[in-house]
Amino acid sequence: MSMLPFAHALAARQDLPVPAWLFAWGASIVLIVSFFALAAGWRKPRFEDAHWRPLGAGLSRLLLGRPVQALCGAIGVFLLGVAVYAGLRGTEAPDRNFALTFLFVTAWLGFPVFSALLGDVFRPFNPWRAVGRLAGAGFRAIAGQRPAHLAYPRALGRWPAAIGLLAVVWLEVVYGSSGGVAVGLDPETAATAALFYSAYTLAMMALFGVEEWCERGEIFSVYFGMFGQLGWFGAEDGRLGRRRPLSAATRWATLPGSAAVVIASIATTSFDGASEGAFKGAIESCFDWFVDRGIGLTASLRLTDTIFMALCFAGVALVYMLGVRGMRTVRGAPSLQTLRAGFAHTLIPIALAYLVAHYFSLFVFQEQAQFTYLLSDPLGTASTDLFGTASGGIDFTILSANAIWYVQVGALLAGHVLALTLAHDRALVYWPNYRDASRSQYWMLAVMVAFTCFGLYLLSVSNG
Amino acid sequence: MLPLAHVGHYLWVLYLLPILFVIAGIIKTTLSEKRRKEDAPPGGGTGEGPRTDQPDRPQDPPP
Repeated sequence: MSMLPFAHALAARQDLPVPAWLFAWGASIVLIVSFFALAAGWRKPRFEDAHWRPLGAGLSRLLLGRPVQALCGAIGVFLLGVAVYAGLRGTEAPDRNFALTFLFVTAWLGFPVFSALLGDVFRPFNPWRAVGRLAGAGFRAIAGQRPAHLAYPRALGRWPAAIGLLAVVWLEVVYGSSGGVAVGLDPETAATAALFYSAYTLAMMALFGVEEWCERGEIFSVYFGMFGQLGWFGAEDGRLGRRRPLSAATRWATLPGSAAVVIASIATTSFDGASEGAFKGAIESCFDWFVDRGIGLTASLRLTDTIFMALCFAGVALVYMLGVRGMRTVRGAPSLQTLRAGFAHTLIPIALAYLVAHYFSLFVFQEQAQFTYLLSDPLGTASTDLFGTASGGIDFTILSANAIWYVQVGALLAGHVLALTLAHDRALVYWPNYRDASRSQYWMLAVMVAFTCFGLYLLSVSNG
Repeated sequence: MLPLAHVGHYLWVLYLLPILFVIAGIIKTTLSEKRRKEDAPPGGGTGEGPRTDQPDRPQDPPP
């Protein structure tokens, strides 16, 4: 059986017909051409109205009805339970234990992609929401009234989710990779963290209400739901419907902290890619500096990685804010605060593009493990063969290094063109004169080109 | 002596150039527009051609 090094970036050299940096030039040209095409031909906002059309009433009733919702919730609770149990009782080898692959690959990477296509698919499977709703129903049955909740502080917005998102990635990438082994978080820690998070989430749901907390503070609901705004389907007034893709995103970033969520997503993916490539030298120098001052090896590594992750967050936020400040210089511009929140949703396709570009190969390889030996032997102790696939393995030849590279470039390019389109569309709302709207987007074009070139540079270094 | 043996360490410059080109283009366009506005005779418009008669006041963000 193949052993998978649980590394994130693919370490395979491509055999490209042209140097990798030329792809950055090509992508920049595509973005500039897209910018001028939008300026010339896109003169009215098209995404502000979602053009939501209800699906058949029977289908809506079936999918949003109590039995299916309860079933989906039970599946979510069961899978979380399996992951926690496998983490606590299974092998310590991260690549052989169901917990890590399920939590950090199948769920963490799978939900964003499916949500971006279909809408918020995590919502019915959210195990904490299912437990919270069940507890609420139990309370109503016993007490005969709805549970009373505290008013959620409006200023907090989605900041708990943004900070939580950084914490989840920190746990996996910083804490996990600096524990003395180079293969990632150990399964027991992941399971313990999942238990702590479950207790915290259920407590917050009891305080502020299940739906309120899912909308604002529950990390996974907010994170996966963010990508779900890009998708084709959504529910309104208890009915499922089809909408214009990307359009729901235009209303997503109205809560404080939303920009921080999407910036955290881009920053953490960037850090994960860069820590093994572009930032490696700088990280090593910083690490040596801490060690020379008598700080322990593990603490030095964690401290260094934490600093670089924070720098990534600050860097991505700075680039975005430069774009926003640039827009502010165009006459008739709304306030800086309005612009900052008003364009945050345009970064969602970039966050998705970064995610696909950096983890596509990991996902394809590791899902083979998920649906073969990890499914049949979740504990990794060779004690079970539930589906007869315990002896399966990973076929690393399924993707060539070139194929991975082209998917990465394609994802980055598509994500940034979509981001540019969303930004142009939003500019037409703030600047009804389309000339001013186009002018305001000069700086967002610079932001998109910067993110594209940075992303391709990270990939070229980690792949090379 | 150019450190050619370490030329790979400077490949990031090639990724930076498109960004710099775009920023240079933006600055150049902004400056030329500003200059054109300054050169335009008072009350003679902006030289941008007819504007659609739309308010400059920003709209509130959509709900």
